[in-house]
Amino acid sequence: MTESPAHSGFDEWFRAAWPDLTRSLTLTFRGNSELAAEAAAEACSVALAKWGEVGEFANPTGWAYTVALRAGRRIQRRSVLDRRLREKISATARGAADPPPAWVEIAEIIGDLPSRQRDVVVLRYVLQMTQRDIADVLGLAPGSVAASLNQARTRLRALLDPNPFDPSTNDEETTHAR
Amino acid sequence: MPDEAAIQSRIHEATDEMTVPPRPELGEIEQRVIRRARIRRIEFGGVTASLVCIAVLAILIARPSFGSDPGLDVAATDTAPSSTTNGTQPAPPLPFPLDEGIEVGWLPQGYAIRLDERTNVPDRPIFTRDQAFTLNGLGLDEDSAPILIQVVEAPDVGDPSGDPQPSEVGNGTIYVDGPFSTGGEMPGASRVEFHVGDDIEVVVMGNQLSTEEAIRIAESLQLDIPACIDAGQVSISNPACAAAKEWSPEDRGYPAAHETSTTALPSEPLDPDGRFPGSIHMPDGYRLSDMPARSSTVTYTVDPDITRQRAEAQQAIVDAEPEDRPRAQANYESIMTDTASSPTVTVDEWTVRLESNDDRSSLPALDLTITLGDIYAEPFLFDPAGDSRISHTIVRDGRTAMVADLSTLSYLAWQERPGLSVFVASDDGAPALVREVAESLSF
Repeated sequence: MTESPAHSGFDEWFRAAWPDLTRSLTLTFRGNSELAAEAAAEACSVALAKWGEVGEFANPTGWAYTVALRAGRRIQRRSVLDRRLREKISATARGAADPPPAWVEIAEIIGDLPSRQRDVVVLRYVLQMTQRDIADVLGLAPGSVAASLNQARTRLRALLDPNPFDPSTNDEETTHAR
Repeated sequence: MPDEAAIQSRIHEATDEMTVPPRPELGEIEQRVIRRARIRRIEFGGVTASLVCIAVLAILIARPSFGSDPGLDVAATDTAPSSTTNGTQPAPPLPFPLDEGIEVGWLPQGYAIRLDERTNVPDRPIFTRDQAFTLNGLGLDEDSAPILIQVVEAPDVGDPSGDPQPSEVGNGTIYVDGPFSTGGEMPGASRVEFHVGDDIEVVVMGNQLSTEEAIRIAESLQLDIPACIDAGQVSISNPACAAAKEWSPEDRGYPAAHETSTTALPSEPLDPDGRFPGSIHMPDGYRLSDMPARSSTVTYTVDPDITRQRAEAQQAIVDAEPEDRPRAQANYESIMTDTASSPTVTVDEWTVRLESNDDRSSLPALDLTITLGDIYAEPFLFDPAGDSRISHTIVRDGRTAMVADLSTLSYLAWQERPGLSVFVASDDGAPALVREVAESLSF
């Protein structure tokens, strides 16, 4: 496939968007970076096929996120047993599990949010999208985005700082303590 | 308490700390585009048409009874009645090609393919995705209780114009508007969706159709389309090229095909074509969002060495550097071919979604996979001593169940009785909920 006018600018977008796209999906998929990468690659291939239209979007990365989200969920629905088998092999190969990096905790907290709140949080705080852009990408009313974001913030505050009245606890400690 | 800036800061810290997965080469992305395009090219009568969306409509009208079978097993039944009764037309022979490459093998009693009055051939309208499906648009009487069979490009792949219903309905699947969106009240309506390969979606729906009938029709379809051919299969009922789910359109204001009890489902014998063969009790605050749906039938080898060999080869694909991936893929395919004749065991996977029974509640939905079958025949999968991440075991009715709480996968597994083992898993974590539901299962 050669660079055609219809694909002009795709490579540049692809290189620039990949880190944020995979990071946001990793958060969405509860730290599963492998799934995030597969879903992101699938979404990027859809973007390439339709770049003539997608490239004109105000926020192609936000659009790719939603496409990847569905692709990832399709993958997740496939055999749980297959995945368990792979995880088992991976664990055997790695030996004793290393302590998870601190970001995994954040991924789990965000992963526990209801799906709409999770999407809104990731689009807002990772992809830095405005509420209006989020509304466009998710097909929601702006008011719904604001409400979901507000609910998500409330939950995140409680989860990130579960003991706000303990003077010995500060933000950094609660974030990374595990 | 962290304010918004602190929340944003922590998320940024977290994402900055992440290792970004290697970005695929552009060529790999292009290969994916080619593969996806290949799936969508469907052969019709020797003429290849690049189709964005294909819908095949089977309009089936009432016809004489053919015996006591509540349905008509087409392949085994004389389908050429000698005369008409009650003014209905003779039924055409089946399996009937609705279109090149698509055949229907089973229909409920009283149904037949409607012939076009002018040409005397089956109606075969082909729609594009943008066309609306309406009863009136098809020239149908709303009281004719049509059954519609559609073969379409899966609409959740990524339409730049945006999906019409980007919602969580149906476990993330997006539903295009169907006749249900335009008709009046349709008691008993049901709709079954099968996903074939990555992109093809087969929908069977009818306004006086039970879910069991819809599933049986769908499973009788023979699809000669590339997604199935690539998988070495030609039948939608074959799990290698299809996964099924069922859905009742209650969320659009129509009665469900089945009453989805919030407390229990009827117990029935283990029936690969039937409904979920057990009962489930819901945890507090939850209800079933759908009837459990048999998502697939999976065949596993029972030879632990072969299982290990295959799994390692599969993992090698994941671990390989991009340049080594084709070789790892070839090695995996070679192993699969070499071990294809090894002894196997077949299990059924059911999907169950629990959701809050209060719309205002913030309880997260929980998706479960329940696998039923003689899975204990596969010792590698169910060897608690062989998996250090089994957190503990529980004893249920004298049988030991393994319990695992992994970061992304919680599961329990036990042998219900000889020949029937149960594997309950959720990608959503939630080990306590998974355990509660699993322990409530009875068969």
